[in-house]
Parts: sequence; structure tokens; C-alpha cells
Amino acid sequence: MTRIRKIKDTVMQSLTWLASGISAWVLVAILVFIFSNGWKLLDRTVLLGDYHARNIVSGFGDIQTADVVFTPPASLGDDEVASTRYGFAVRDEIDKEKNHVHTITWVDDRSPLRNGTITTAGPTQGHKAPFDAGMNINKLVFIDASGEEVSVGRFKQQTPQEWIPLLDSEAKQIAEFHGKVPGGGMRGSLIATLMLIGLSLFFSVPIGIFAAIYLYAIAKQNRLTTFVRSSIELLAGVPSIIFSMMGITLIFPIIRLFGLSGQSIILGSLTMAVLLLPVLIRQTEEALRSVPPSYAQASLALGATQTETLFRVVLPAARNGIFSACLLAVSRIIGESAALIFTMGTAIQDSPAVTSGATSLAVQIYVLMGGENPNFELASAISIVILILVLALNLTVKVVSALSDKKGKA
Amino acid sequence: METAKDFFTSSDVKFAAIRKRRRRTDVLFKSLFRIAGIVAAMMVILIIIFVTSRGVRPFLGSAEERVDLKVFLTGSRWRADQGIYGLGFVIINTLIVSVTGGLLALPLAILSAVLITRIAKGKLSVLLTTIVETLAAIPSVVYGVFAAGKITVLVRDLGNIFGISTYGGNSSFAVILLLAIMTYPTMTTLAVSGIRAVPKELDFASLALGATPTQTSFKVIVPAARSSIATGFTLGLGRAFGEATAVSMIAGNALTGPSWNPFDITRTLTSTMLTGLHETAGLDYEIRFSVGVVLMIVIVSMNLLVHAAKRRLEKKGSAIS
Repeated sequence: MTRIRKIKDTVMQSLTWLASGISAWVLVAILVFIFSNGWKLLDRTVLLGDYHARNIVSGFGDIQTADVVFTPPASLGDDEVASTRYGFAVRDEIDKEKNHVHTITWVDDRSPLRNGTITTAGPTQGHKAPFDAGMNINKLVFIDASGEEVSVGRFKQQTPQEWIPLLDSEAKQIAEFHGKVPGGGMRGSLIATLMLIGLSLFFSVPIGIFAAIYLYAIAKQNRLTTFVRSSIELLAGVPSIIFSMMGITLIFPIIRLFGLSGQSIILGSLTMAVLLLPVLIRQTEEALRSVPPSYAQASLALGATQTETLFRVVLPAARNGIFSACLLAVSRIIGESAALIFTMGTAIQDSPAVTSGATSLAVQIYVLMGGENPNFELASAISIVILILVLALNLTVKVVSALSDKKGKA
Repeated sequence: METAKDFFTSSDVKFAAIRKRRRRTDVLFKSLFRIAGIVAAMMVILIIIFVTSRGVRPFLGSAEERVDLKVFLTGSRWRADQGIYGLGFVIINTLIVSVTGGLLALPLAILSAVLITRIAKGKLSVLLTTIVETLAAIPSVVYGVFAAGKITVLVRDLGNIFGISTYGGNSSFAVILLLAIMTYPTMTTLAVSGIRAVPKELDFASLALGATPTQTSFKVIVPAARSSIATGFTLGLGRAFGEATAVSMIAGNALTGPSWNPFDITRTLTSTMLTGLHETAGLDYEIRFSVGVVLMIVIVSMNLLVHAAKRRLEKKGSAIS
């Protein structure tokens, strides 16, 4: 080996390391960026809370304040101010819109403020009003010893250190509470994503498996089969935004016959069902092909019909592969955004229904990133959830295939 | 009392009935399978028909609502607010960013594939494969968040070094980098499987002739795997052209073009389809379908082009050997 050859080889080898190094660096950069932006936000209220903030106005009727003295938990910080007569504590915080808010950090179970009922007109009027940790208090109205109504709270630019002692010393009876359940959660999108997964699989899996059986067991080597195969191949290459267009032009008129109109989770899941077909068919056919032909031959020789052989012998033997196919489909649904933007809309819902529009987690990220001020924190928090789900699903697929490989060898 | 003869005839009848029923089930299920296969195959045709028939509507409507097809295909301004729909520059921009992104990713993909298959051994090879698979599994919106938060900042800082002011980093260059990252896993996966499928004999022959392992990898094995590499390139380009949400977060949606300055904002076919989503009726909404048709045409012609190039490459290859 000449020296020049050696140098050339070393250069080429270092280039391969450099290329893989870049990809590893990009992956680490993505993970670090997403986790560093979203991790601190990701708690129970974000994961399971509403996206839209809700204002609460509640009244308390004639409920007199009992002479109980509540003891705040020892874990309260210095910046938290507790009301010992009403059993709650608040902290002055800065919210996402950069405003001061007084956030409830502790509520005693027996706190009289828990007994309010919603007074704003609407369907929830008369319902029990929430008063929980995580909510913001804007205003409290109480009646003092002289029977006068006194309002205190954040709306008067008072700090908790000012208004809570006032409340504890002056109030005889609570009249009204104005507060806010802060938004910025992802529960609605999480539920919508689950509905989408269920419905998409329901529509897609039977057709996918049947089509795979057709290609595996029935299709002969002829032009029709070649056509079917290349069409499915082509379908896999169609960009997801085109599936969105298909949902509107092809599927929307069909579901309108059933009385559904507008964007809906049903429309989104039917669109996803078509999008998933190539993945499902390819994976299922591969799984069917990995079943030794002797299984089917033995079953047929014992007198079972073709249908019995398929459903009782071949499909059960291929169940790991089919399960993996479904998991890959789920991972695709979780990550999909473009196919759903037109079919399910971009309005984030807190309580989604299958017959109306909603956003999946991925679409919620897209919505949060739009507009003048992208909400990086929440988008990253949702990205963490998506990444964990998708990577876990992919890992499960790998484990399942490794297990069945081992079994096959044994 | 049943005689033996009766028994046989009666059970014959019974079996015949069972056999008939079973045959009927077989036939029923066979046709169900066939229908499923044909439905799946029909979808792509239905997509083309339905999207196209909706997409041509803006060019056929009444005079005041009609868009001129020539202006649409060659125009250099996209002002939905003024009713000007010139998509020509958008097509050029899309081609520029997608092809450049793909060409940026291709050498990296080939080099990584060589490392994974021929240089790295055991655990390291598995680790590198896992990195590629993880990159492939990350959904595009997540790439979008990363691009909007990191790639644009990088581009902005780079622009500042050269004294170029950018629109907060939203630019062709940022889109190119994003698309290079997003197409890299597809290309690498295909290159890896292509290299793995090269017959061992080629390897041995090259080594026996005195070539070094590295020479063999780059001069024999990679060229032998060019068909898979070309397929990976096509698939990657398809992803680049069709990528919507992530690109639209950093494209900046330029109103005129084409712009040859990589630090300038851009507009792609997909980002055009995603703008102003609140409309659900009218020309502004309908025109999206026309853009979709153009996107499909661009992807199909790109596929044909790469396919033709691949054929020529193969011919050249066979002439040498």
C-alpha cells in the first residue's frame, strides 16, 4: 500500500465518520432543544388540563363562615400567602402572557370557598364551581361586620400580602369569587388523538389485512396483480397534504350522505385510513410470507378449507407481524399533521367529539407554532409526549420482531 | 332402524351440504379479499381523479372568478388578497429547496451507509443504525418546532456574520437545511440495504486484485448499489416536495419571486397550500387544490426524471462490466 493510498483511505474513512457524526449531532440537538424547552412545563396540568382558559364567577349564597382555623401545610414557601380562615394559599406569579396572577397553591378540603356555585348565565349556571390549586384568583367579594360588600384581590392591584390578611380579619361572609382556570393544556388533543387512532385502525386494519391476504394467497402473476402492487406502491409515495385534499374531495361527499358535515374526527380518520393502507398491506404481507408454507399445507391436508386455514393457521402464525404493522400505523397517526389540518380543522377543542372538528397532538403543535408569537414551550412539551409515544412504539416493534425471530430459530 | 346403506347415503348428503357450504365460504372470502385489494389499488387513481377535477375548477369558472392558467403557471406574484395567483416562482422555489436539500443529504447518506455496513462493527453499527431509525421516526411537526427554534436562529446568526439581514432566519437556506435533515434517514436506509445486497463476490474480487477495503467500498460496492441509492434519492425527494407543516413554519411565505438569495424568505407549493387556512370557501380555498395538482405533477415528473437517469446509469454500468 503506497503512502498516498493510505492517506486517501484515511480521508475517506474520516469522511464517513464525519457524516455519521453530523447525523448523531443533529439528533442530539433536536432532543436537547425539545426537552430543554418543554420539560419544565410538562406537568399534570399541562398534560391533562384544558387548552382554553375559563373564567369562573361563583356565588356563595348565605353560607356563613364557620369559626374554623385552618393550618396551612408546612411545605408552603415564603412567597405563598395563606388564609387561615378560608383554608387556601396563593402565590404571585407571572403567567405566559407576562401578567401578574395570583395562583392558588393550596386548598384545604373543608375550605368554605369550595361550596360556590357558578352564577354566570349559561348551561353551567348553578353547577358547583371549581376552586382548586392551579386556578387564579382575580377578585373576592366579602361582606364585612357592617354589612358592606368589600372587594379585594389582584384586580385592585393588591398583592396577596395585602389582601389576604384583610380577608382574614374583616370578612364575615364570602359573597363572590372571580377566578380563572388557566389554559395551555393538551388534554383535548390527547383525547382526539386517541379517538383518531381507534377509528383509523377500525377502518383501515380490516381492508389492509384483507388486501394483504389477496396479494399473498390469491393474486396470480398477472397484469392485474402488477397493477395492484404498483398502485399501492404509488399510494405510499403520495404526500400527506394530498391525502388531506382527497379527504375533502372524495370522502367528505360520502360521509355527507350519512348526515355528517364539515371537518370532523370521522373525516380525519377515514383519510388516515387510506393513508395507512400501504404501510399495513406491506407489513402484513411480509408477515404472512414469513409463515412457513408447511403450516398451510398441513392444515389443508387435514381437510381444512382455505378460509379455515387462513383464519385459524396462517393469520395466527403471523400475528406478531400484524401487531407490529398496527403499531407502526399508530405511530404514523400520532405523528401525522398535514393530512389532518384540512380534514379535522385547526380549532383546538377541550372536549372533542367524533362528529366535529378537533386537533390531534401534532396538529395542536402546528397551530401553536403559527401566528406572530409561536408558543415554543407548549409546542415542545407536546413534542416530548409525541416523541416518547412514537419512539416507544418503534421500540416495541423492534422487540416484537426480535422475539419472533428468536422463536423462529428455536 | 337405519341400515348401513341408509347411513352412508344420509351422511353423504350431509357431507355434500357441508362441502357446499364450505366452498361457498371460501368463495365469499376470496371475493372479499379481492375487493379489498382492488379498493386499495383504486385509491391512488381516485385521488388523482378527484383532486384534479377539483383543481381545474378555478380555471373553468365564470369570467370574474376565473384564474388564467398561463398566469397561474408562470406568474411571479402570489397575492391571495388581491386575487393574483402566480405560482410559477413557487414551483421554481420548491424545486430549488427540495433538490438542494436532497443533494446535500445524499453524500452524507452514502458516507454514513458505508460506515454502517463496511467500517463499523457490532454494537457501533447497531448504534449508528438506531440513530438513523430514530431520525426517521421523528414526526415532521417536531422537526418543524426544532427548525423554527434552532435552524432559523443558526441561519440568522450566519446572516449577521455576512452582514445580511434575514427575516428572523426564515429563509430558503433554513428550509434547505431542514429538508436535508429530513431526507437523510430515508436515503441512508435505502443505501444501507442496497450495499448489503451487493454480492460478496464483488467484494472478494476487488480485494483479491489488491484494492484496499476503503477503495473497494467506494469504487466497487457503492457503484454496485447505485440502483438502491437512486431509489432512496427519489423517495427522499418525494418527501422533500411533499413536506408541508415543518416547511411552512420556516418558509416565510414570500409574495414574489423567485429569489436566488438563500437568506431571503421563500414559498413552497406545500406552504402555499397551508396559508390562510381559515377560508373554507371561495377561490382562495379552491386554488389550493390546483396547487395540489401541480405538486402531484412535480413529484411524478421528478420520479420519471430520476428513473430515466437511473436507467442511463445502469446502461453505463453494464457497458463497463
